[in-house]
Amino acid sequence: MHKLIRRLLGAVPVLLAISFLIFLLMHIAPGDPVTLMLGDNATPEDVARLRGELGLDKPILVQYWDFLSRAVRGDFGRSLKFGEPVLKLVGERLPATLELAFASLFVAITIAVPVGVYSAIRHNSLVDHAGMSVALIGVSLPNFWLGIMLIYFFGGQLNWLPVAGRIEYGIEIKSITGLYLIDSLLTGNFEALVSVAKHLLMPAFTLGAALAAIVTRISRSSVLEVMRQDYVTTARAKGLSERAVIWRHIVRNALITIVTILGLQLGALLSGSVVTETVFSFPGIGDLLIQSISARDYKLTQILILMFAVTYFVVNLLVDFLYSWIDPRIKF
Amino acid sequence: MKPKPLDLDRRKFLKFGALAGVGALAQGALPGSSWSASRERLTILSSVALDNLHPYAYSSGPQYGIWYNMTEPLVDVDFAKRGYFGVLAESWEFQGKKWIFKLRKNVRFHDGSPFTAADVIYSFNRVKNDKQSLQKENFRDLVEMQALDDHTIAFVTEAPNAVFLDRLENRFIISKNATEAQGGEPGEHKPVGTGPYRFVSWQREGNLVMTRHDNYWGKKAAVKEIVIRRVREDAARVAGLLAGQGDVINNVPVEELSRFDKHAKVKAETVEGQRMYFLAMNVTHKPFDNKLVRQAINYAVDPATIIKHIYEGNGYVMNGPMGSKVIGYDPKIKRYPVDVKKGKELLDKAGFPNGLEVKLYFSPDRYPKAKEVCQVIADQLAKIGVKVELVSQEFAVFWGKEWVNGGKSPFYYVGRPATDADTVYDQYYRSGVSPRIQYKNPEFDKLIDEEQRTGDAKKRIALLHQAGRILMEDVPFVPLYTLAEIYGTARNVAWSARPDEKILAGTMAIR
Repeated sequence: MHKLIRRLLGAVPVLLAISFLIFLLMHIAPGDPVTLMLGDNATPEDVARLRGELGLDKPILVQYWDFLSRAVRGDFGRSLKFGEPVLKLVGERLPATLELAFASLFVAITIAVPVGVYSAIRHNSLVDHAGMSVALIGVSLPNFWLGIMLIYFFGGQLNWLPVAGRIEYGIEIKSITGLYLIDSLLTGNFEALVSVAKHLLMPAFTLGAALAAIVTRISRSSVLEVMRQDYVTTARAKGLSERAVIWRHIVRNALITIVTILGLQLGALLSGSVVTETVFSFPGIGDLLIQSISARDYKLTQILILMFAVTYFVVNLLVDFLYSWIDPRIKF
Repeated sequence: MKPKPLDLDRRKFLKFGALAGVGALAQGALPGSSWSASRERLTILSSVALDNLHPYAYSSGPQYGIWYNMTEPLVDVDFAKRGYFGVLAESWEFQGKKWIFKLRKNVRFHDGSPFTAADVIYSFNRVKNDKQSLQKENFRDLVEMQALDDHTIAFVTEAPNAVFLDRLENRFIISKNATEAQGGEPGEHKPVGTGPYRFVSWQREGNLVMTRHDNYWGKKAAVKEIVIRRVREDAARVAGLLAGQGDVINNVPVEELSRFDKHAKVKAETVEGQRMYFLAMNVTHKPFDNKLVRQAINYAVDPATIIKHIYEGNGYVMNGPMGSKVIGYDPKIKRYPVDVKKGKELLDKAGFPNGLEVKLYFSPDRYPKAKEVCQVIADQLAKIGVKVELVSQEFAVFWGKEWVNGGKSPFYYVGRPATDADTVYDQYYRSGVSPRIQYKNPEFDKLIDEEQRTGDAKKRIALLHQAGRILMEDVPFVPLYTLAEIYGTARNVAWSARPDEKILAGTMAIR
């Protein structure tokens, strides 16, 4: 337990450094939120007045100190673009991104691990070659392009799936966790479940495709590597069934590498969500980040990037836990 | 009675989840339920949505359009006649520093309360003083408002202001009583206006739902319920319309138009837009301080070619500083003809016999096909010996105080919407107002001063024409074009689009 606390405390200076860096970069970067907010009619006097009202005319270090001193009291300020407290905005959007990330991870794992393991066990077979070719295509497709193609075919041409959003208009959902799929299951709301699944399918596939491709290749090479180990030969020699050899000795040991890659790739999944959410107008924090950066909404951007940093940290922590669970020899 | 605990163990959860998942996918494999426009409900897929529910914390055309469905202004623009008509105002009179408005009687807000001068004063005070208002600059010279009776109101300005009607466009009136009664944060109040639609619900980045206001003072809307959904991606809006998931979409890219022509259920709706595109030349930078150089550039640029090849014909060449829908447009002004020889001669006369090199700044994320347009312009300018280097900037950078709004962009491609020529003349070309062009001409300033003070509409237009002719002689810009605003609609939707990016559902009919 005290190791966990030590890890959590260790994150504080890192997050502080990140927050300062973002603050500095955002303010040094060219671009002005006030001229964007006021539009075409604003005079320089109007711009100066609003800058003063928003405190943007103060020196950067003073602004950062204001931000920090408020942040420790839990007040992260208001968004310039939306006029609402930034924490409220993030709270509204975070569950959507988490749901999308989990769905993409689910898509990636359910496709990639079985295909990867099977390709390794039957390597150089037709299935192996086909699997690896598809994986190569998957990793090569930019996800914005894949998203638009899916929208074109499954939305525009076939009308099977909705082109944007998270749930169909008119369907009420009782929020428990904020993850609509879980909430609709918990409340037994089948209509909502169908609508949410239909809205989630294309974005999850778009986001999960590249990850699936990477994991397929990693699973295959990892299993191949393990298959050459002496303990696998020993397991076979002592007369274990092939099934037991594969599942208890090969796959379990290969999982360490796969989990590491999944953990590392979750970061890519988050950055991928920025593009995917924009293409599908999916109301998550990725979409919000694009809007806040375009509007130079300093406070909102700051908190969103910090969120991403925290997520990386948490995922890394989880991966470490998973290691010791998969392989008890590894101590957390 | 004690609520029954959720009887769901892990096994049941997984079983139900798996079954439901398969069901959801199976249903997904069936043709989707399209909801084509009906008198019951119409869905608009819009590239823009409301950022919040604050009645004045926005300043963009499409957002004004969304609000206009629920809340109304005193006056609106008659684009065909290039003038104004009363919405919540019946008539008005300009008396020096005073504007007197007679308000429409028998108008009721959505909550049933009557519309009076007190609501106008409340609303405009919010516009002027609310911390979050982004429309304050429209009332910067409004010093007093007096309710002369329930349906007469006087606005007093610092100096006579003939263009006050322009400032009133998009200044929407909300109910004083209904808003104050809601308490809490001003940005979270449900809008209560007088418009043809009543507010029902809104989710940020989700749906805005409005229902017909059955006691509307004007013509009752044809469709009962309007749903506006934000769909940012152009391809997704088009796909949504083609699939029947939406009935009206905005900002259709020109290359998609041919698909609409062939489609049995959708059509395109186009109208000349209000945004005027031009090349701005900041006259404090060399070589744009030289009038001959500016004229030479005008002789070289041919917007008709750009419209034909880049916008597939969906544009309208501007003959002068204003587009044809703008109040103050002068049909007698003609643009500089394309004349390469003349352009070269002028450059020679200006002291650049071997041509010159300039940078052209543009923002590809703001204006459609800006990069392609600027490439063509560079090619056209090369013919008179002006070598152009293109500089692409993100809009937040382009428009910021480091560049255009700091007076640091010498030559740039920009688009500006306007209802009245005064707003552009005053802002871009009057001495000392904005650093965007920094043009100074006392004669021009005098005309604008006079135009802004005259109560005689005809005289004011004549003064704007005169000012326009001065600009065409000095040309601190190259007029280019206005573009078509392109919408897609289901074929059974009868609707005429407005030039100002507003989608007014109350003007739609279902065939």
